Amino acid sequence: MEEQIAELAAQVAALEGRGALTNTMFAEMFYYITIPLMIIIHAGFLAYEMGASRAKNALSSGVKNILAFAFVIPAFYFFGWWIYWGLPQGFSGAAGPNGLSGAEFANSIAWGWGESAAFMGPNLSDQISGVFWGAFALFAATTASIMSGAVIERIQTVGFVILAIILGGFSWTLAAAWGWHADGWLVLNWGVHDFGAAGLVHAVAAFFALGVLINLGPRIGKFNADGSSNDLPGHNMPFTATGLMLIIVGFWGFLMACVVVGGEAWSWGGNYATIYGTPITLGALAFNILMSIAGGIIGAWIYTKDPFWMMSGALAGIISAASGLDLYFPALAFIVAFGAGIILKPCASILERMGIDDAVGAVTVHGTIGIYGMLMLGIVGAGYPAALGEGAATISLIGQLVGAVVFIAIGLITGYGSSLILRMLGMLRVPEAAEIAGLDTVKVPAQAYPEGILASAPAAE
Amino acid sequence: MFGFPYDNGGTWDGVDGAVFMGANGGAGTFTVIAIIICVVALVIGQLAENGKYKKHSARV
Repeated sequence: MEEQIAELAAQVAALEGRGALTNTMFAEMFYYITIPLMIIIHAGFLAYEMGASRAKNALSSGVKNILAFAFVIPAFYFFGWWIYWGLPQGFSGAAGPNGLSGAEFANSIAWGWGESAAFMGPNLSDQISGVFWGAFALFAATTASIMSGAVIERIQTVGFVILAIILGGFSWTLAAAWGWHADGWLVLNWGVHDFGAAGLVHAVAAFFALGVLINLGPRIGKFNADGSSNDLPGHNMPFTATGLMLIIVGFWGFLMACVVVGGEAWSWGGNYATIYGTPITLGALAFNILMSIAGGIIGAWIYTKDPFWMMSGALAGIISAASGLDLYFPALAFIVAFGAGIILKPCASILERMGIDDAVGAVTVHGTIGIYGMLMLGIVGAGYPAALGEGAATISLIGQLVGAVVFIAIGLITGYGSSLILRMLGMLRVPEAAEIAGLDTVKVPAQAYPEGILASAPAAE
Repeated sequence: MFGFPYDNGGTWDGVDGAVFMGANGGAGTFTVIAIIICVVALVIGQLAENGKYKKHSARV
């Protein structure tokens, strides 16, 4: 009898071990899959920007976008990851109440040297750090791509890459540490809740771009002497619209990566949770992402009838509901997104009337709508606990407003400051003659359309 | 209609079930509003499209 019990216990232990291993492999696979999904965002931004450029700048816009990805990823490895874990309590580097933050904690897991290097490279006893870092690195790269579209056709390549590194490695990461971390002071003190990063990714990147645009200035020919503006249409609207659709596909990976898988030592419990530890299901994302895409498109269609703005409306729809995708009722997400689609184009026009040449509407789609989304959650989600545990701050309009102001400030100050320095160093804007000639012909050793855009050959009989 | 649908001291502890805004009543209102938006959008879209056709016919 005792032998049978011992055998049964051994079998139970083996089953538990296999179950735990399966859960670990699931968690690892979960984040691993989000990485290529988020790379689709970059495929989309690449197509979107090249299509939105005039033919003479199509490839140089692509080069810039590709390099942003290439430099932001290592920058996030070198220091971005440390900022996220080290500074949730502010620049003091103090540890937070959940024991998941502070300079000491970050020193132990997030540097690519010393003892912490064990967590920053292949390690058979650590199946999460690599994929979790990878997902965050793609968030970082996304911020750079958001900025990239706004500044096309007149920014220097290296100057842009430096800005991308600052945005992707520092600015958004600081915002995430403060407002997207269980120990973040914005979360603990103000109840900031931004599940899908409407503020800390989209708005930070957009206001960073706005700061850059102020120093960069408009493209030649955009504004007339009397202040009126001219349309400088891109050379390939279908390519741009397709790119926007790819971005939307990729955002499923982005939002999936905002979920914390359950059942592991680092999890919030046995089931899915938000990064704040609050409960969520993937079903919530399916309901609310789809409904918000639809609402954004319909809102933009009513106002513009323009496929560029309709697809931008789809993106704006997701961004507008992103803060509360875990909490919205689907029809409410649709209503919020519909509002975003309606206000999108008028907000972009206001920005243009202020003399800002945002070539793809990035400041509006990501910035204005990101802030709109944060504030809408503050209104309709007031009273929800923003984080896990007793005594957690609740979501409120004031809290969301404070978070929004902080995110705007982080983006605007770092974007304006860094681009001002680059301008003083002569590294921001391309020479006038190069801009007029077209950047492809000046610096890209390839042609976008060597045969021009021809009528197709006759079909075979 | 809005706000946390559970009266348990403002914590997620022990919460199980629907957590969305309107879970304790009012969700249907959002659905009705969303339906109305869709119908009104179609009506406005149809009027605008007809207007374009008429404008085009007048020019031809």
